[in-house]
Amino acid sequence: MSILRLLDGNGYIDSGEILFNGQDLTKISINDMYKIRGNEISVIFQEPMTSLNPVFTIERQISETFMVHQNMTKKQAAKEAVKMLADVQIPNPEDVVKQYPPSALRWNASARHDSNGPCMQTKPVDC
Amino acid sequence: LDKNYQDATQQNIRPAFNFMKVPGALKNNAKQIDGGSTFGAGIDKNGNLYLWGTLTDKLKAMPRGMGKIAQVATGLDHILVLTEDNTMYTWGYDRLNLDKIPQDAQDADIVQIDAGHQVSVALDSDGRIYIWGNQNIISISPGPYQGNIKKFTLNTTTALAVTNDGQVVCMTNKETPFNAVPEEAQGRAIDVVSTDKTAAVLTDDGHIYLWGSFPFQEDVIPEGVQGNVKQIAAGRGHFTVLLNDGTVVSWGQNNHGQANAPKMSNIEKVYSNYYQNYAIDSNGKVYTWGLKGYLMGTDQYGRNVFLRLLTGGRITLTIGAISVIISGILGIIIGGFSGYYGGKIDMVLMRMAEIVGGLPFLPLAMILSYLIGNKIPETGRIFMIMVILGVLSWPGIARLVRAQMLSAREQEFVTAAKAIGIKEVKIIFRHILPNVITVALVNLTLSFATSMLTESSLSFLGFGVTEPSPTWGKYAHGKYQYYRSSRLLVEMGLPCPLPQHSNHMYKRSRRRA
Repeated sequence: MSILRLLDGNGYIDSGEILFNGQDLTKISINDMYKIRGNEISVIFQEPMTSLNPVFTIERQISETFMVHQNMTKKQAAKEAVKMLADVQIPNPEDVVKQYPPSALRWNASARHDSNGPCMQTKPVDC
Repeated sequence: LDKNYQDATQQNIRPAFNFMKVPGALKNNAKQIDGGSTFGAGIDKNGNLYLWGTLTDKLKAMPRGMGKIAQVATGLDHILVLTEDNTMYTWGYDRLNLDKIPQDAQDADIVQIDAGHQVSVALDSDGRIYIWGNQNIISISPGPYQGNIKKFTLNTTTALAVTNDGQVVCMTNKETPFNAVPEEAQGRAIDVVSTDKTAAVLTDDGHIYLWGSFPFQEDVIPEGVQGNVKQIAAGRGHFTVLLNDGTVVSWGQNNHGQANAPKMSNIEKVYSNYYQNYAIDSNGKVYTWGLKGYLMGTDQYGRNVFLRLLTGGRITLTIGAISVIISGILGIIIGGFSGYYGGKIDMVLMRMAEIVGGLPFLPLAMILSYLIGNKIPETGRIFMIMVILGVLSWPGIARLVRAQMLSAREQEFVTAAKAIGIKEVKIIFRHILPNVITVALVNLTLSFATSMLTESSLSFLGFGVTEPSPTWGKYAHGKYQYYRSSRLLVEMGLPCPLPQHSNHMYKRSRRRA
């Protein structure tokens, strides 16, 4: 979080440097930071109930990353999102992508009651 | 709707549909009928007089003991009758000497009477006409034809007559469009009638000849009429003719259905007045067509209030909708930035909102529309009201969105969106806004109603939309000085909450979905 400058105003870098691929992350501009965030470095959030936007479908939230960083069209990105879900062995990825986070979580939790916790936890890991 | 439509004969009429509600006793026993602007009068075969329609108190005050009535004539708002013992009575509008029947007319042997706009005319068997009442509106002077007149007719500007030798003459010493009587009809005329703008003469071979001007295509005479006309009658803009086979044809102005003659047979007499038509068949049965009345009455210019209310709703609703869209866009953008960034930006934007919110709305709108309003045309004025309303009412929405934004920006999905590299403006409007928009939308539907009411109050005060464009505020303004009763409350109370209610239902349906 601090490397990506995601902390609020009360968190600041006192001194030193963060080197990543030869760049000093404390010195690059915010626009360069946008390019690194999600593309090269990202954060895995623990609680899917809050880290997923409740008003967007799963598909939109996963494919957004591809659209931002890999210049994919909406259709390509949607396909990629299904592939991602299949990779982490979520059942019925085609159906899951069309759902909104709360129902997707509920549905998956009951479908895979044998696994450890809600499987959606894997989702923000994808990229 | 013709915004500039006015009708001096239809002013301030109460809501009713009784203009042609012929009483049951007369319905199958009628001898003669005449119609005024909003009422009718008829005589049955026993010489009894009946009145119906929307009558003023003075019109209702029929003199007692008149005896058997031979003829009745109705004007704009007065009635003249001729009894069988050759006495005339008049009542209704009584100013300008209209109630004073000249003594020489009372003494004469009257054969025809007619009543026009505040004027009464009678014709005696010697071909002399008597005129009394207000002669400023209608100028009538028989001139050299006095003593030679067989039949006459009145319209809103003049009087026309048929002389004993079949000539049609215009009884005026002024130059009017009616002076140019068609030559081919002269000498053969048996009757003459006239609308406001067109005159028609009926000749002895059943032909009619028209002259004057033709604003409602009165000169397009339907087929099968020429050569078969038995009798002709005229309203304010239409003609009705009775054909030799007992059927009736109407044409001309048709704004109240007065030219839609029903299928009838065995008709003996037709009468047309203003916008009403009456036909009596050989059994004395009465048929009617034309203007029955107005659902919500008319205003001081004689315009149909219900129609104007519907059209006015269009403008009022458009103003409400556009101003809400303007204030919604402004409020969401400003509130969004202010709530998301906080700090100095929030500080500046919110102080701005407070300044705008602190402006006294009505006085400002009045001053603005007073200063700019008179220099721009009607549509610009309406547009300006929309903009004023929109630009001044955003702070409420902005504050609401800001508050929602403040809590939403702390949610983890915002950090998650940042972590995958999405830019901040996009986060505000694409990621957070959908989460908070419902609250703003609910509020906007409420301010839609408020905007509508504000437009109404502005127009009511005379600073908004101007005459003759109808809006609901104008409607209330036009009405309140004429009746301060519950009628205005009901008429305004019905339409104003309706869009708000439908708004609310829409809102509820959106929430359920």
